[in-house]
Amino acid sequence: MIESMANWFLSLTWFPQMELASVKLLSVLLVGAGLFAFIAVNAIVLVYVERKVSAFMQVRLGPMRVGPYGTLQTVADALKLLLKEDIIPTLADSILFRVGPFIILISAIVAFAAIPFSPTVTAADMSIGLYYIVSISSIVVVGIVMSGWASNNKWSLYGAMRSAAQIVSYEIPVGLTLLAVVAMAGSLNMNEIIIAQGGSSNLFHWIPLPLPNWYMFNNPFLFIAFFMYIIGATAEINRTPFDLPESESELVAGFMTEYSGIRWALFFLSEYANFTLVAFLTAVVFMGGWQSPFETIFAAKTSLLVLLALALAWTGYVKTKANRLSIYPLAIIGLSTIAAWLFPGFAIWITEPGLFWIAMKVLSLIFLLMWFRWTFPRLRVDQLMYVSWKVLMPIALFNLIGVATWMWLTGEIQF
Amino acid sequence: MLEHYGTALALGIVGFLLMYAAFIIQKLVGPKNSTDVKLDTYECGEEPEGETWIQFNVRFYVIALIFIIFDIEVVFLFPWAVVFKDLGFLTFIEVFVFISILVVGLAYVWKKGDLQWVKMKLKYGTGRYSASNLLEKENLKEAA
Repeated sequence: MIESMANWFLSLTWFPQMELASVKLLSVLLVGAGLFAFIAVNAIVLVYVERKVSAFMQVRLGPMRVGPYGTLQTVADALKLLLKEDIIPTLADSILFRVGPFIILISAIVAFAAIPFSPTVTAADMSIGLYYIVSISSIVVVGIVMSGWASNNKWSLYGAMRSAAQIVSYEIPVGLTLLAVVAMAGSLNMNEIIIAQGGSSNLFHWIPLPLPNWYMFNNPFLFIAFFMYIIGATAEINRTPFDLPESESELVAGFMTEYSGIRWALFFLSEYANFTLVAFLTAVVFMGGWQSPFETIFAAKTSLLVLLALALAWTGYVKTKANRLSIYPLAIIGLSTIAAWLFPGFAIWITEPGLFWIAMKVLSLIFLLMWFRWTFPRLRVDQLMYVSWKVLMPIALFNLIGVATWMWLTGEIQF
Repeated sequence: MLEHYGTALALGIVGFLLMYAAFIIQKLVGPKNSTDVKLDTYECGEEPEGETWIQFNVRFYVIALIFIIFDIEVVFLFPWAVVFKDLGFLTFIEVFVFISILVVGLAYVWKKGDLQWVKMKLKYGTGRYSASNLLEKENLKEAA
């Protein structure tokens, strides 16, 4: 992508004639600034979305004061954090206290380099993309322990140690589930993993239910692996029900107790960056990334009709059960169905791979994880460890063997 | 190929610089009136008491040790997974042996009780935590 971007710059008439290397450097810096801007804006939007989603799930309004429907609330919050006094406790280890948030945020940002946003847009299309992301995002633990230890605060230290134990424990099931996908794809390159999931086929190549050929629907073992990955990823990004490191009701704020103002904002930014990263990784590995779920225009039209029927049934069900009119799913699916049948351009557009589809998948996954927060109660520490080592770990090992056997049975590999 | 890692490095540097810019803005516009109480360690409004940097419970280290073993296993398995399609089912049997050795390790750790977070069960406790001992203490308290 850097190469094509540099060539595009050189093809511009007003662009000063420079050497290719310096133009490349410029493009790299631009891409870096763009990704950082994406992460920052994304965090600001997601905080607003999370507050609104939480509010609607609890039948209240959420932020309403700043801007129309409170849309500028998080911008105002960010500005407020920027204007706060910088407090470093006298007893804290000053250097580690300063370095900790930077390590956490930089590891979260750098991991975004290998994320494919569309068939052509990948900041760094590495051959070991998946492995790179998994390894880089695990550096977060170092930053968490560093800032928790440096704070010289009992809450912080407890939070940091718990967090380290938790992230470390869930890393192995997550690694093993990703391993099953890698064995299936035969590549660690993110774009190659996505390309391998193109087209559509029957569910598990066996049950006559036409679905997109995502790894999630590829075989029963990967179907289990998808749910295991969601559980493990939720634990790795310290979100409810696994938010023990910063459980408000027992540890004040965990490892970030002593942090305030802009330093605390860095933690917040990295939390949402990791959140999005996990959603992107799930979308790429299990849900076909930027691939469209519809193989042909006819498939798109008929699938939308089926979805419309499902939405109608859902609306009727809600109407009879709760006597409320659930209009939004029906409206969105209805409008897109009408558009697909009336305008051929729209039908063609939704069958093409691109940013739209990966964005839709990522947003649905983010919504799912926000939904988790208001559905499941927080686990106890011993339950957390139990789930990781005694439930997910054996299932993950079994799954790996299962996937290999499935590949052998379906004739994908020979003796 | 190395170019990609260069991009990642540049991304880290750009991110660091932009974050540092936020700190500079904060230095310029933020208030600076710190007091001793403000810079004190937070402990729910009380004055902080005792040492924080203590020796931690050993079970964290046990978890870390088990993690290292299994993480290295995952690292070893990644190259196998990439070439699995080319090498065929025979390599799977080799890896199966490798995994089963580690499964035996997991079973051993499990049996030893090192995966158990709560080490002590009061109901079936031994020594001074045994049920009869605790009952005795309670009886003594009641008698007193």
